[in-house]
Amino acid sequence: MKKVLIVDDAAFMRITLKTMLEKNEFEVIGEAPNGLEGVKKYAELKPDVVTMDITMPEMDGVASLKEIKKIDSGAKVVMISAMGQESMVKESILAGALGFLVKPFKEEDVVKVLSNL
Amino acid sequence: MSYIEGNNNLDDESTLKDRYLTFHLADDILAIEIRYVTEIISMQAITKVPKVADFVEGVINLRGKIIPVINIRTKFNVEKIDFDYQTNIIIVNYKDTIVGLIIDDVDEVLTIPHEDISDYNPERKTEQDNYITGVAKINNDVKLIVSCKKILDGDSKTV
Amino acid sequence: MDDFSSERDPLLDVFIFETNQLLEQLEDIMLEVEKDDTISEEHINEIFRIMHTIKGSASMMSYDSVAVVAHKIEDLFFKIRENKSVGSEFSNVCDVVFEGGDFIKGQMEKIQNGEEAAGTADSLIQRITDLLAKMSGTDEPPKNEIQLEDKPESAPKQEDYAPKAESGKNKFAITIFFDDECKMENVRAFSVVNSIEKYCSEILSKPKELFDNPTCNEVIQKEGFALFIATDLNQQKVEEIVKKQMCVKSVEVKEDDFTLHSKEADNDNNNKAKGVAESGKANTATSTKVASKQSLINVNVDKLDALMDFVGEIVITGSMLEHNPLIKGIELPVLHKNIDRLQKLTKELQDVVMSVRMVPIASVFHKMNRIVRDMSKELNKEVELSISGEETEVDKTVVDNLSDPLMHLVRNCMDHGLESAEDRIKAGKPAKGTVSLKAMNIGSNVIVTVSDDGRGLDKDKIIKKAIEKKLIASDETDISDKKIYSLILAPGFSTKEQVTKFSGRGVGMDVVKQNIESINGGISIDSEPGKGTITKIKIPLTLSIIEGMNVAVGDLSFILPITSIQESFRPKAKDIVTDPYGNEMILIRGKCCNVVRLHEKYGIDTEVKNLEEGILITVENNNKLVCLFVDRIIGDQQIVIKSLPKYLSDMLEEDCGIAGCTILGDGGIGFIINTNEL
Repeated sequence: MKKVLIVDDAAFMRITLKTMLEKNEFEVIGEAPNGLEGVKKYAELKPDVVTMDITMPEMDGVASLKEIKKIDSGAKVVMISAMGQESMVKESILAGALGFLVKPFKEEDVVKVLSNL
Repeated sequence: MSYIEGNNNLDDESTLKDRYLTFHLADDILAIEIRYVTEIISMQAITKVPKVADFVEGVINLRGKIIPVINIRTKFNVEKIDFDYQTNIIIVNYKDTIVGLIIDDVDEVLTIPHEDISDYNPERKTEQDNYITGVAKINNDVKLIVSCKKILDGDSKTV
Repeated sequence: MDDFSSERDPLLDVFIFETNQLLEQLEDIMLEVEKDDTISEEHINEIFRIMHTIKGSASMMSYDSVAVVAHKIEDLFFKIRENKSVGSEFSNVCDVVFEGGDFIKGQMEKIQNGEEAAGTADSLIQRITDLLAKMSGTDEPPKNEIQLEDKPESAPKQEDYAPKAESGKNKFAITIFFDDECKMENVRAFSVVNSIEKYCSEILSKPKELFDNPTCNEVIQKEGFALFIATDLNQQKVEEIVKKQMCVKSVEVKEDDFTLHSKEADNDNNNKAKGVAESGKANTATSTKVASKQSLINVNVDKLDALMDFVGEIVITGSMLEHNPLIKGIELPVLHKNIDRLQKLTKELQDVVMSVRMVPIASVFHKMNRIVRDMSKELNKEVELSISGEETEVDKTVVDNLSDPLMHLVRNCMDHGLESAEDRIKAGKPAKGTVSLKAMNIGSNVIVTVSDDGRGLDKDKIIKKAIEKKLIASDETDISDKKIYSLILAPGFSTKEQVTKFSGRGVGMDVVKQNIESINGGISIDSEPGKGTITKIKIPLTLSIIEGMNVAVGDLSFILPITSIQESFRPKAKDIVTDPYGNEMILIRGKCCNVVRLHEKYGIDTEVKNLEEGILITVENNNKLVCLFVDRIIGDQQIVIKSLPKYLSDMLEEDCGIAGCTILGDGGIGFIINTNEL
């Protein structure tokens, strides 16, 4: 079972992702409400995969991704973006994100993406 | 206190069908469907409730739950006797109304097949006839089948 | 409220809860913004983020009507952030945000009630579009995509492909199709390029420009994304790398000598203009005043109710243990010590559980801000809302039930209480009226007052109306002011000649009274003509546990809620008066008060028949006072209210006053009397 860390400031998105993932043989080992917490939790829990929202307070997804990559250059991070955030997604890819999902997405999209990592 | 096993389990209703709990009331043996009976307890302290019907003896504290108790003798218009430590209270649950029935004492649990129950046509009509729905003869004993519904029904202003 | 919550999708519950929370924050921000007459950078970022989040969640739940509005406002605020100001459009911007928030709130309510979230906000959206156009300084419709660029350079963007390989023996043409509806195809394409360019000595793409290219995504969808590369990797490896990318539907790799194309492409590729956006600055704003980001969990109130029930049961069981005479008689110090300890722990547990359900009254008070603002505009009255004691905590259920009554009272103040600016100035008052909300803890009650500095209540008018409605006899001359004002609370009463949009239909105040009484509270009104009116609401801190006075009548125990007791005393024979009809009364400080013998009322046997041998307890009975005659007072204690079994309550008369029962410390059963129902 792949271990997942969910980083998103919206409780709704966290619980939606968690529900989708846990139905499909993923184990959600942690959640973080902003990028800063995300980095802390990554170091603490060492998940297999991270889902990272882009727009968050304290530290956004792109910055958080960069920090996580400093801790672990092999970190597998998938960005969760909304329409209209192209430049930030582009920047994430340049920073080493393995891919991205665009809201709204369906359960099968998430599963497909995370399974292939 | 004694408990009747398994009768709280509504799934077992098929196995509870035709099962009756019989008890003594004055000179009669009455039988009530066991699927409504949740437990049998011994007499305990009853707190009177003001301004209710006379057959309501009061309420009891059953493990933290407040349950009204009815004196069946009063309800059936049979001569009242004093309670003693042998007096039993049958706790019944009929459609979420939980009430205790004070009876003399409990007899046994038995199966009375539907075919063995005949209509009740007494020569003299008495008060308790309102609650008796049939009669069964088992080994020379006559058991009067009482209806839980009828005992509890019509007591309240709302049916 | 709604019955569906237990069956409803828990995700929906979270969605509704969170969205409503965000909308509340939004409203707080907007009210502050209007007050300050300016939108700060923090506010802009906060509003942007709120709309962004709502948009995302709403789209996940397929509530497109909400997502569209949120997206539109997000676009607007992105523009505002870009421009770094709202320019001259301040009030228009505020209006659309309020309207947008209201629309989404309305949709949430529909969803919460199990209705469909149908309906669109077309005109609102159009207005925002127009606003955006004005702010962009052009009349063209704005771009569909928001770029987070802060750099003013508008040079045509070229992709900064950085082929790193030193040699590229093999030349391939790659055609990639992405999954249908995978969205942001251009970024996906970029991702592919990013993954392969390190292996290439040359790399070209078609479409050439992935960013800032409005037709790019369509082209990629229809014709696929084409890449031309020179690399040392073999065909299989290239395919592998591309396939590893997300959302790749199909890949075709062909050998292709593409030097012909490269000449054109070269110029483009040499252009180093990068279009990297600044990251993250957009989202670091946290307005400490405005957004309260504490670490919170939201808990289903049903679970809290269940928790309270269990704690109540534990309290009772512990009491039974403590007071059981048999156990008391056991000479075992360790037993009693532990029972004591158990009781102490239980009390602490009870305190904590009760506090879990407590929420500051602030949320209800703040809702009033919006009401005052709206009404202020409608009625053309300048009004200030002054709030104090908002940190006072009350049980969650109380807060839920206070909202409507408070709204009605505030509306009344604004509509009926406060005079127009003109009249106020004539009366020597400041033109701006004040409505005050106060909350404070007194004992085990919370007192909430709603007051205004308006014209006060007209006693004569009220008396006249009351006589008309036959609420009082026309010859009742000696009525206290308090009684006069309380007549307003009677059903069907209303002195306002015209029914206004907000109040005055005569269903208001008595419903307010009912609402307050449903949470075991009481309401009273006081006023000074010309100065203002003050409405006082008294509510017990919790609903199911009250402080009660245990009294004995014969063998029975009755509980009287402390809040309804005025005083208790042993009467003296000389103060007892009997009227010609045989009604007993007692003289208290010169006034006559009816006596109700509980043993008679309830048909209880008791030795104590002489009034001087028992106790009289003066209690409130529908704004009157009445004296209940009991044998003796046993003591006061915390009572867990249990409802009387329906089987019994159906048998009782309506005016018997027995509203519930409880299990006493010694395991016995006591009956709770609602003194207003006697």
